[in-house]
Amino acid sequence: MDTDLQSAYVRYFPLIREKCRRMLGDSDEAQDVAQETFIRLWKAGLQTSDPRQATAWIYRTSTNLAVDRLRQRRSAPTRAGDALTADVPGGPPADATLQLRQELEAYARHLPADALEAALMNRLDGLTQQEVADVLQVSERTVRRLLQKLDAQVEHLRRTLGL
Amino acid sequence: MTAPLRHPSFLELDRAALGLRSPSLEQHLQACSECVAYLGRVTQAEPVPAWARALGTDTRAGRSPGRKRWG
Repeated sequence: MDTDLQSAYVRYFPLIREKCRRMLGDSDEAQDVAQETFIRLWKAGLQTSDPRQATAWIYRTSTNLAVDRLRQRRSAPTRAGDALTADVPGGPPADATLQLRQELEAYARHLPADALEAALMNRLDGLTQQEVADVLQVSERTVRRLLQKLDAQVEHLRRTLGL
Repeated sequence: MTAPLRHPSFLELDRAALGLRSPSLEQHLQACSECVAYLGRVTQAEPVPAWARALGTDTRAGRSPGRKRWG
């Protein structure tokens, strides 16, 4: 087997999978998105040994794919039993994580994709607004504005649609 | 009273898994079993599955020569 492929898989796939599980729960969908992210990474021939560039690419691509999935869903949000239940470092406590993800799943179709991407990174992955800005290649001010806009829209959806 | 442990972001942990570790992260890892466990999960070697092995042959033609440098 191609040793390059093997080293890429060993180096990157486990963290891609963890990232996708945080966004989509421990589901087949998370595994699909993780595989798609790795396939894209391999086909792109990501030419870097810089962990900053590699992780930024992985976070942008996997989050973008996950948001597409969330916005395409027609069914009910993931059941609590399928979702993340353990406390995780870097993010909020498990109960809050679960509630956040269920809410984002429920309202994803009504929310803008760029705000959802910022929210997944900031609220589930525990990235600071500056880290989100670095990954998305926008200003910190833009990230702050996206999150404020999303919070306002979620609040409006809570009142009008409920959860 | 001990202050509650503030975890680094997953981005910082993932960068650490790829070899980029700040002194403050090293210090955090000495006191945080959760973050150490996470790093253990993402750095554990595992067999490459068939779908990934297939990329070595399926996509080779589509990749530019000389663009295969992985860390």
